[in-house]
Amino acid sequence: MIEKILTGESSQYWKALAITLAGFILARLVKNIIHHWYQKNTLSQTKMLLEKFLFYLIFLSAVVWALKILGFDWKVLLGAAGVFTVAIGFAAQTSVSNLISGIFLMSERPFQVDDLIEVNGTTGIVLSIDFLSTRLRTFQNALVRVPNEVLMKAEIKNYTRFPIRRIDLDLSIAYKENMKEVKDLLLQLVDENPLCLDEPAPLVIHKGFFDSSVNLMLCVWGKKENFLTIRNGLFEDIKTLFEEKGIEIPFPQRVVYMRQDGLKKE
Amino acid sequence: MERIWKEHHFKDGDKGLFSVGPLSLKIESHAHDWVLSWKHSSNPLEESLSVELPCQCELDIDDNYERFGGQHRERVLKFSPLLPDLPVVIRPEKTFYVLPKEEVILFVSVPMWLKVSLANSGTLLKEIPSYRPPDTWFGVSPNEGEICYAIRTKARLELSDMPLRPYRAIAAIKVVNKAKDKLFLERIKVPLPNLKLFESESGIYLTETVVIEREKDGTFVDVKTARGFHKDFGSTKKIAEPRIPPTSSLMRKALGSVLSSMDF
Repeated sequence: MIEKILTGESSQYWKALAITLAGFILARLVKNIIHHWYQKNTLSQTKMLLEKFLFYLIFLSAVVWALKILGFDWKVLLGAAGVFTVAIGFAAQTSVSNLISGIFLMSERPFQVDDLIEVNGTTGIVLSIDFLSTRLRTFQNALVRVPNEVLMKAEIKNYTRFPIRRIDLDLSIAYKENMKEVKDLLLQLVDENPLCLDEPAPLVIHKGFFDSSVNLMLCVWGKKENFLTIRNGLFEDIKTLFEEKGIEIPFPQRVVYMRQDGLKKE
Repeated sequence: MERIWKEHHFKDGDKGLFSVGPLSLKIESHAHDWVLSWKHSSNPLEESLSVELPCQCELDIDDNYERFGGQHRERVLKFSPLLPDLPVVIRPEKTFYVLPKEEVILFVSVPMWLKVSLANSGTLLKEIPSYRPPDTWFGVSPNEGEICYAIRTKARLELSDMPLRPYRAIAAIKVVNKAKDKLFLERIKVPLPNLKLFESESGIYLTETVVIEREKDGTFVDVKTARGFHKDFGSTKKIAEPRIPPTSSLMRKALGSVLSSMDF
């Protein structure tokens, strides 16, 4: 074939090559147009899918057309397909499962591109949802490829689905402290932080009496993008507040009673 | 009273200190940049209002700090007032009902934003709130709703009771209750970004009135704006357009969620 192309004996090879190249260029062009036209108005996931779908549709159509010009007989392929179906079926079992899972994920939409999700202990921002796998970028800037089949079976936590999040802070205070007073101080502290939402109202939950401390949980709501700022800021403010007010944050301790009668026997 | 909303002339190397209620703003004019630094007092009711330009004092404001570089041909900054960039949810401090077949006008004082721009070109440097109200969520559940600013109000019914401060605007909310039962006003969303801002002859800042009507069957049919109470201040002039122009669909959207009580 190469010899024929080089010698110029067969113009259909040049024609097929030109169609393939033109198809590729056209596919890229359409992809770029969609990327720019829908930059602001469309969800990035929808845009990404549309780009890929149209790119492969145009490019593969061009390839099929080019092969037809070269005289490729599709009936032969279809006939052979029957023979290879079983073998391909076994080999592509995982891929097909991932593909079907990917279609379900796209229709169900438990998360979208740019969401922060946790799956199987991995937390990361969704970079892309492809037909076979989903790519995450972790906070350590590592790329994690999760097969769609795994995502279909796993429990997924989507941290950024809703605009606001609740931030829970576990706190411990000594037994001698006045719980009501501590609760009021904590709520006042939250009230003075403009990033903490006024509604839903913050609350303090008494978690119980433990070995060395009374445990509380301070629950405040904030915008999802302020999650870390609020959390870090509140921990700093609470420590400062406790120090100012002389509220003790207890260390684990054990009280040992010495029995007087036992000592006398010795 | 010190005028803050005007053009301020700087020379090379000048420092200016502006106190606008709880906001302290320092501006430095350098050869090739403007430096803005500001902080807010912990007391939201701080009433200071002063301009020191040039200011010789050593200033220690490093809470927020931004620089704006350029050829620095303009030496004049313009300070303009703006309404908040988000809707405000007002909550009366004490339980408040509107009686059946009655109407009330609630007056609320809302903090204004300080817009710092280059006087000639109009280039915006920064918008800084004179007081930054806390965030709140306005919606029926944590899934549906929108972020707003929260303001607790005494829900004053007499305009003469309102404290007049040049860095706060007076917003009026007229609630018409045509129903046979009383209307509990727990929280009201005021779409401030959709309202125009006016200034009276005496330097008082006013928004349009938000009118909320409740029909006989208990449904809310309309949210609209008017300039009902402006006549009490003599002639007023418009000084700022709405940040987001109100459209009929926007006001209709506001209608569905103008009053709320949440149940989580």
